[in-house]
Amino acid sequence: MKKYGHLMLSVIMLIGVILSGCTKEENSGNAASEPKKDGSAAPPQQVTITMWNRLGKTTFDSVIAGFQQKYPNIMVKLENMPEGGGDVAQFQAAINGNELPDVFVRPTGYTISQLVKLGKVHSLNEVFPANTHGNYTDGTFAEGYGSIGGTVYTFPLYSSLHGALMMYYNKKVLGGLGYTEADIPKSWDEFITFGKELNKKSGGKTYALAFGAATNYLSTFLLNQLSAPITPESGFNYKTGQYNYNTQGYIETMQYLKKAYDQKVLHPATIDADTGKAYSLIKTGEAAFMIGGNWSGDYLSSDDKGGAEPFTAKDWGVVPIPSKNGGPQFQYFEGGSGESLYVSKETKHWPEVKTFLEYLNENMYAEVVKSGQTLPSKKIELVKGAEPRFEQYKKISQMMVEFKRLTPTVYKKNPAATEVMSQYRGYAPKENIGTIFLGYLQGQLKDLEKPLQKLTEDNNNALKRAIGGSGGAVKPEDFIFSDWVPGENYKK
Amino acid sequence: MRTGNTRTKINPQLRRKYIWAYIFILPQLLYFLLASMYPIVMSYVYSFYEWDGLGPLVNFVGFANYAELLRDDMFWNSFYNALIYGVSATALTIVVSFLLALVLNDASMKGRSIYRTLYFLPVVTVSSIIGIIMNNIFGIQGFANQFLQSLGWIDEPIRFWLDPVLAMIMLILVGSWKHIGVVMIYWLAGLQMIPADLYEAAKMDGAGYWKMLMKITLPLLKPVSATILLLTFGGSLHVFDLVKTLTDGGPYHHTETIELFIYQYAFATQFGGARVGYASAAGVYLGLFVLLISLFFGWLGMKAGGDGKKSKLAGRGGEA
Repeated sequence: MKKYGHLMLSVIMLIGVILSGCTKEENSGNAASEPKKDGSAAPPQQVTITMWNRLGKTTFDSVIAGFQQKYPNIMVKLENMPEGGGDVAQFQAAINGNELPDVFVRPTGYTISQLVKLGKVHSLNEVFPANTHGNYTDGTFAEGYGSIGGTVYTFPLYSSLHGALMMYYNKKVLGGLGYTEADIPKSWDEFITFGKELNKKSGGKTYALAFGAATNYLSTFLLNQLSAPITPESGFNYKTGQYNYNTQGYIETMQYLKKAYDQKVLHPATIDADTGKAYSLIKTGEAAFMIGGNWSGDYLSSDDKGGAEPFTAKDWGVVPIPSKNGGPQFQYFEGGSGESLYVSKETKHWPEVKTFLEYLNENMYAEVVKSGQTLPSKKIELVKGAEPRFEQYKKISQMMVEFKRLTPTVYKKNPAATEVMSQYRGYAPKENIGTIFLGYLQGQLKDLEKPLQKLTEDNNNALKRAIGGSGGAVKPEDFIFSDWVPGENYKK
Repeated sequence: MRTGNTRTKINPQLRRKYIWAYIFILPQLLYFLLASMYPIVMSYVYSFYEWDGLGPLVNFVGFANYAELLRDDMFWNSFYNALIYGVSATALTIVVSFLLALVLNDASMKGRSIYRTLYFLPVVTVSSIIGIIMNNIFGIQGFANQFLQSLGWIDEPIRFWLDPVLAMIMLILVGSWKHIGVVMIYWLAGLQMIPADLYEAAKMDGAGYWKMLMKITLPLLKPVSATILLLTFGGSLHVFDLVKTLTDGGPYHHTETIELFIYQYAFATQFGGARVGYASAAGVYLGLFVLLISLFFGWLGMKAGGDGKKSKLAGRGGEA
């Protein structure tokens, strides 16, 4: 029996040893140097801070390299996570297991209010004191977006104008067919005619337009941007405090894009293409134009061989996407920042993290401008020594400003609405404008009104249910802004 | 150990064997309890809460998630798709793998191990990789369409992934192809359990290949086939990674299976916040359905002689 006892003990010890290998390496020291007994300063202790990035291609690498040079005793371990929502499970596990990294990019699908409520994020008031908020684009630290209860929790990376869509074109292809930028039409009907002509001129080798219709966020942004000028109350109607998707704007935009596809103005692969595929189509000249975000210039200037020759910044131009009547187009936004960083409340290295964030605050925005990805959260006139790597950046930035309209925000009226909106997001249908559009483009949906009406009702029911669950803390009237003028910037 | 009112002593040698057995299975048992049982139990717990996957469980909702699921058209759509896929892929996999096993079980066949390896290769290939590759091969601009167009057989590309029926057929074909190898191994194991002397005796009595197949092979494989059917069908209902990478549930939810539905509510928050409680309830429904199917196949196995009596008889060269 004793023999078995020993064996059992051995087995348990072995399991213990195996499991101990799974425990996280702790680094409880901090980088501040403590004096030795003889009074001389001890060499600073090496500290490692971890950082999770789910943004794919970013400027973090170059900024971190600069930081390491300046602060060799603070090591920043950057872990790139999967894009496209693949980070959610990892974040869920980390949040529930108190295993969050010191610094992380905002997780997909979770709001600042959820993280604050759980006590998972560190206040950044020390990094962004109130007297510096004016250095950032308007609404960056707005309640419910950058702050909760007056405390700043987010490190804003990109401007809240981030997310505007535009039309990129292949200069060689267009020039080869005898067109210049001045020939590019601005209205839908003209573009269809132009697209057919272009395809004919190229002997059927080049289609006019491509975009990643299978990339949900892109389709959704595109529909929002093109439908808003037709029906400015599309999406959320701040006058009624209700969602409205069954609008003329959405229906006409979807019908136009379907028509463009059926008439071979859109590249055939658009129907099952993601954004990556769309980049390759424009680079190889199979498509003359590509719809992309304000960040697409960075991807189009990467010197990689899309086709037989390198595709560089001099090979592409950018113009607004044609709109119904050739007039302005816009998307709504409520404030906050395009993307942001958080710091874990459980960080054991707050002094070092703060040093890192201060360094980022000084250097990150210039890198964002240099990359040409987007506008930084910091006002561009305050970002010194940053020359974008392609000249089109200025034009893209101007379009970003033109294409965005600030809306009212319920959080200013009633901060308790942050919790309601978190609940609403859960109750909302796992369907959106983008999925309905893809179904229509692929020929699975013939009638648009029915699914759009259902989407409207499902979203309104989800909001009603979430408001109902607030125990009276939030009322439907909180979502109504009678002074909102659809299509105009909300100045209040 | 009690048998009626008498206590029988276990043979000390047997007891030692038991103790050793338990010691050896202890690590695996602990791992099973932590990595399998705990999540299963917790998913039942989550299903009674409105929970976004973060923080403590506070919002107890009873059976509300279960009731809501029964009213959710998308849930039934995914359930229906999973059934279509499960039944079709199982039928195809079972039949093709059985035929392959019969061929590869022939001792006179040369290069059997090479063929077995070839058929087994898709099994050890990661499903998501297969999905991505197949998606590209059969895409609008994929190799298949380009090849057919270059031959002049088609003018317009075939919409493999964009036609609901075709997309489901493709999914079934790829899914079956992926699993045929492993099911073939199950069949081979079953076939090799059949005593060779039965066939020799049958041959001496003048039975041909078909007669031996119908009178010896198939009857003796009945108990094994119930297990294979259960494993294959249960596995098919759990299809996820292949669907995610091959069709992502498209076109317009026509190939969205229940596992994908669960994933979208638990993790895919591009459409809003996570509802882990709701997703867990859907998982419980799926689990209960698989349990019912298992019980049915178990009963089928018993009816088919799964109690082992016939096998024992066969093993002794008795009547099968």
